[in-house]
Amino acid sequence: MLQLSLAAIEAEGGTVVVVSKDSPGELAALAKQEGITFLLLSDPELKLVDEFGLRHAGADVHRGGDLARPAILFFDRAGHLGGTFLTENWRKRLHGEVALEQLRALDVPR
Amino acid sequence: MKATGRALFGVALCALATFGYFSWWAKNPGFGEHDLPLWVMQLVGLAVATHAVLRPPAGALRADRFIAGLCLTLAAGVTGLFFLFTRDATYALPPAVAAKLVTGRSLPAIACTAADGSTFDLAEEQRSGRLAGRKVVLAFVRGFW
Repeated sequence: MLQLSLAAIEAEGGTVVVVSKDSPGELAALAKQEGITFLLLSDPELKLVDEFGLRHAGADVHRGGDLARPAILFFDRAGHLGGTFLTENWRKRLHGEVALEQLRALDVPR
Repeated sequence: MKATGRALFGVALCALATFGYFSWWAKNPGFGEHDLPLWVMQLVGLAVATHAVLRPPAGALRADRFIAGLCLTLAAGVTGLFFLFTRDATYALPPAVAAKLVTGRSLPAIACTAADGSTFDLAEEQRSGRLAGRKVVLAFVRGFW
């Protein structure tokens, strides 16, 4: 979904960074397979995940352990958090237009 | 084997809806969160299989009716699997820690390894790297894609 909206996000002055527990090798393979061009970060120890309080305990049914709960955070040009998309059901995905609205909202003085 | 043929058609519909969901539907942006059409397929499949068992064609052999019954059981099992994997409770998530998502907080100085093997520190990249002067969409995903 993010890849489909990437051009519009970049036109809005945004950059996409995706974080997962997968190893860098797995992420590289995924990027090649799916044609992903945004930045993929590996967080196997869930340091970033914990930094934002997004750990989903016991959710990694394939490898064991925990995972990140899906979440999308929007930071302004100064690197400050300005918005979040926190689904309560991981089948609900962020749609491109919602991402763009969030990005535009970052330009509105708070 | 007319009853079996009809029941098999019902199973095929249920199986197509279930396996189609995981192989394509759920991954397709815009479709994945809406499974009503697949539920309709499941219910039609179940109805066809049930009808084949309860109202078999005139003169249907016992073996035909028995196999149709097995097909109905299979269709019900496949639909049950679909229910288990698509009901909302399966996808429920724990709440995020609100105190860590306070508006205005900064990108953290935590280094991660990027897919290309390079080290990437969000705070540092925001100050003077690839994120400098850019808005950032930071997405956390479950991985194992």
